[in-house]
Amino acid sequence: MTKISVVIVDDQDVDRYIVRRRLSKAPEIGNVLEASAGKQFLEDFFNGSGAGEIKHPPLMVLMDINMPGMNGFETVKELQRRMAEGRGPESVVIMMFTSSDNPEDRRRAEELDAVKGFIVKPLDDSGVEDLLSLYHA
Amino acid sequence: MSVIETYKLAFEIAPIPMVLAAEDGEIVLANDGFLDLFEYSATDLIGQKIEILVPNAIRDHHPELRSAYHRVPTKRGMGAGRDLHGVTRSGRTIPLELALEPVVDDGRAYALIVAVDISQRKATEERVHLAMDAAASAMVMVNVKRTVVYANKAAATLFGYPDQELIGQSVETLVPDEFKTVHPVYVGSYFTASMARSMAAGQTLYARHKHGGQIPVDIALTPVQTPDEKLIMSTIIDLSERVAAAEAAAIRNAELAALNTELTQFAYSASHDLKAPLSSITGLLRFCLEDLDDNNPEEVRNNLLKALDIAQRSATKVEGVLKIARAGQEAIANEAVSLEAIIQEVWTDLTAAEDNISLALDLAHEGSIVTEPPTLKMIIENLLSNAVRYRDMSNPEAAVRVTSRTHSGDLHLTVSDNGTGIPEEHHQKVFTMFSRLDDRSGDGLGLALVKKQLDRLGGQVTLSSRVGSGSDFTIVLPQGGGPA
Repeated sequence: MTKISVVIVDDQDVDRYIVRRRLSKAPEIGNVLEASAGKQFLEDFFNGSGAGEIKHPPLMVLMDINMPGMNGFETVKELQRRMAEGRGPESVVIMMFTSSDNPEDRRRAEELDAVKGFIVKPLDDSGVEDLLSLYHA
Repeated sequence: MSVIETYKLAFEIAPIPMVLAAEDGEIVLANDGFLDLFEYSATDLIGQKIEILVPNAIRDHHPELRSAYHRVPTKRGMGAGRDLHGVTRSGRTIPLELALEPVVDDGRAYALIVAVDISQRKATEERVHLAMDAAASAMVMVNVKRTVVYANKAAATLFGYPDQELIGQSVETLVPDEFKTVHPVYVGSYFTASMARSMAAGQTLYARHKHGGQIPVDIALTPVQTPDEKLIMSTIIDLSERVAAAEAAAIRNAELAALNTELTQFAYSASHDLKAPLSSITGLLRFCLEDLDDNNPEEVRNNLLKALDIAQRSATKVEGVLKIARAGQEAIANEAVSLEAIIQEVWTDLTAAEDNISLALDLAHEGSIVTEPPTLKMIIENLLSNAVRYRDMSNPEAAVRVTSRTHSGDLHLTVSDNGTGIPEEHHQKVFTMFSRLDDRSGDGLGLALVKKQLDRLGGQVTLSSRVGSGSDFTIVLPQGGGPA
């Protein structure tokens, strides 16, 4: 079975560390990549080259909402635009990933087609299970 | 039989006081009713000039009026509006209503005068006016010619006229210009179909003050049938206070709505920015427990240090939020400050470890600046530290310039830099709490605090910036210290 590649987009080092360590125990998860800002993430994975090779299984993206510069929602919108132009992986599964279980944020997340789930920080073992079941849903 | 003889007979049987006076004023005939009214006997009055019955004030003037009448003799009926008086033999003045009829006999011109004593009616009117004057609401009584027959004291006060001045004026004097043309039509319709009602139910009406201003009013109309004529009584309620109160309430509501939005915004930001560190700490502490079970003290120590660091930074952030919330709650005394000293002090602290950024001062404000010294220092600290933080690293000549001027008693202070600049779409956002534009940003609280403090001091802060060419932050602050 091909393992799932994951990108963590979060400006906080500690939060990326927590996710990385949690995911390291999940056998289904393969490569864990990181980006500390929306802009950097888009440049690394949706620049029209390279990452297009990630085909199957789809890339899992854990997207923090509250980041300086482009926030999570803005980043996802731009990602959708770039995907429509064929400038990224063929398919991605995005989970909004935030410390705040805010109804307004949930609503905004639901409006974005590419977003499949909403996970509240900090990630724990049951959060990893949720992530995987959302990913496979 | 001469006309005079004929009249004599008619006079004797007439139930109302009548007198016949010749062109030169000589009283030729007077009936009993007339003699009684003026307290004369026939022998005392016949042959006298009519002027002895005229009040002193116009007695000298009267022959002139009399000859004017005889030049164009016309029948003049009784009617309201002619307020005349007669004087009795004992000197008593009595209100009269007079009718005049020209008569010619034997080539001589006479005037037949019917006089009705209206003392009773006047007394009744007087009582009505007294009652109206005692009323708290403004009342204006108008006749079919739209003439103000009476306006009570409250009306005079409301519309800005001396007592009595409105009486006799057209009611349109009190109507705003834009309704002056249509108002007579409305009055006409009301006279033909009168019933008590409000003037314009559901609409706000305005009346015209003597000085031209408009007064919001509510007007109730009541038809009044007097023995002589039909009148309209308008009762006018001054809505100025009510309107002002409604406006004040609307402003207050808008303020509350703005406050509510701010609060929602704050709750949203707080849920992200204040809760985030706690989530991180929770995640780290869970690892610590797991690592303790796995007997991995080194990893426990690492994560505890991380958690500690986050907790400390978080405490600083909370302190920053509290500073904004508390802004202005503690009284800080105003003092005259030296702008240059503050700038130099702040700059030295900020750039102690930097030698590749320059400061230029162009301070040309007038007079002294009296304000809260720590508040002004905080504002300058934030603006200068942003200018340093967002400098363009690729530019070897990073420079900050501070300019001060005085306009209309306000200090205009601009901090300009040649740094990276701020995209237009973020110009408003930079002043809101927790807004961080990129990883050089701090907690996103500095400019929010600057704005809050300036709002409180009656000042403002504005931003002008283009990406690549730097930013100008300008504060305007009342030099006298702002509102108390």
